[in-house]
Amino acid sequence: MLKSKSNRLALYDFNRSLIRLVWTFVWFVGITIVIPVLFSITFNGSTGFKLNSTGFAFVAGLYLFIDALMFNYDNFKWTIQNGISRRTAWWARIKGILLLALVVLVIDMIEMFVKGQKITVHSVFVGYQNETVGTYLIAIVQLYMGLLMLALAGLVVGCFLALLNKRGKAIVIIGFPVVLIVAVTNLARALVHANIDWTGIVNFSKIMFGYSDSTGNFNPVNSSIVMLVWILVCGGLSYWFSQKLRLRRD
Amino acid sequence: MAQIKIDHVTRKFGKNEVLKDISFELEPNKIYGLLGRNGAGKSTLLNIMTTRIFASSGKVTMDQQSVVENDDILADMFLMSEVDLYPERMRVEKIFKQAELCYGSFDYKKAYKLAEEFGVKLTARFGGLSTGYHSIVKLIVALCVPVNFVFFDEPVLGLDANHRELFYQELLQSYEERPRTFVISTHLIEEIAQIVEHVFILDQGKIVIDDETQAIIDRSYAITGPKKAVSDYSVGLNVIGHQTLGGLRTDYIYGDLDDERVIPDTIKIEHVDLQKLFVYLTEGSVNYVKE
Repeated sequence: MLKSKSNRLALYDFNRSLIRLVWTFVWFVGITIVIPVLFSITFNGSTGFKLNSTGFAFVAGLYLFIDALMFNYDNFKWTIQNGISRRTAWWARIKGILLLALVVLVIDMIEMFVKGQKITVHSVFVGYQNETVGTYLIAIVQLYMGLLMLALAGLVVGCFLALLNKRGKAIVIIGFPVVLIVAVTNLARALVHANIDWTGIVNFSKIMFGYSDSTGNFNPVNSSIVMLVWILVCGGLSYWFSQKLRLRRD
Repeated sequence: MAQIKIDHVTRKFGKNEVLKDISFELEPNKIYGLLGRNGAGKSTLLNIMTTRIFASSGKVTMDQQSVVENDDILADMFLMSEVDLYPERMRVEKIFKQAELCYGSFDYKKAYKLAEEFGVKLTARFGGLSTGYHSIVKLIVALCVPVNFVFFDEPVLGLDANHRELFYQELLQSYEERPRTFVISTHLIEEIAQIVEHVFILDQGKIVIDDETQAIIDRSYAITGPKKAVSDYSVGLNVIGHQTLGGLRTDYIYGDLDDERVIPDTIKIEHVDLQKLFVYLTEGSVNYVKE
């Protein structure tokens, strides 16, 4: 099984992503720790470094999104050159993302452990604040799913952008935020003036997050299903886009 | 043995129909020439065959199985194209490793030997190489991957005469060591005329010639002599072009001559080389009947 083409590619993809993640951390440490520490030592005589101020987990999460967003067309180019079908390349990418998200999860947990934070603090969906193994397990699983949601959202956008030529990309990258801002502004204005009964929306949200009015707790199963649906939809969309990839001349 | 079948393939880019109902077959262990003028659709056809782009209609199959999304078939093909699909920052040695990763094996011994002969630095980054060396790296990979179908799209782009000669030698040696199917698409017809066994000529999106090289040459004639004698002799034959020089005229014929027709003493009949035939067959201004 491990010798299958998609597994070989997934490991290759994962290794490359890992190297890029390490380089991201090198830059992050350089910019946020080394340079400020050098300045502090120079001007104040002390390091001024506090462990609590680091944000490796945030950077790793952001990296996960960006890594899934970028390199899709480049990956397509070299895989199709080397006789790999779009399906196999996509599947390898998904496996690579699953592994990379696992690494980011470990980084996240190590940082929380070092900072003395509890994992349940991060897992907003988990309402069971008693510290049982099950609670931690649910929190870890949900955190992992949250990272996958992030990565697959990046993958969908990346696969979609990979279909566009340079001009199309420029139009989308510039045009989409503009359209979004205008739409959100108008929507906000409309909502302010409209007399909307929010009860239905609030109740629906409660169901989505598994909130119980009687206990004040959240049922993690509901939110897990929502996350799973997001992951599956994004996975399906990215597969659909990747099947349409073709060599461009731009 | 595997055989590739191109079955009524059409490709449109907007309103422009680049390939028009193309059909032909590629047999195992044969060297093919795919000839055509700029924009004839050669690269588009090769890209469709390797699923880099999709056909608007029609299909490409290997042993009755579609090539689209078929890893087993794709792993049996390699297209060395003029476009560079390798990452710019990747080192040559890493490109070999990437090929091994995807194709399952790679002839490193041959690759290192070829790299030395062509003077390619294995540690050089792909993006830092010249156009000629880009072609060379891709040629080395093409000759060292374990596939049965190798397609070359402008393989000698940017190569000097020495490197071109070396490539043709290595190609033939590689074919001798391990026979497989090669398709060479190039504009340098004279250089491959002695290598290719079978020729496809693509003109304005259609295959106008699909035959063995020798058979094509055997059916191509240049009839030279006094204007009137040549014109009289050529009447009713498939004249694909002509040249005049003073009182002399040469008619280029593609097809069978009329055996019943008496050949005047004043005219000379000889076979035409592939390049000349190609030029006349694909020259838009000349009215000819394509057979």
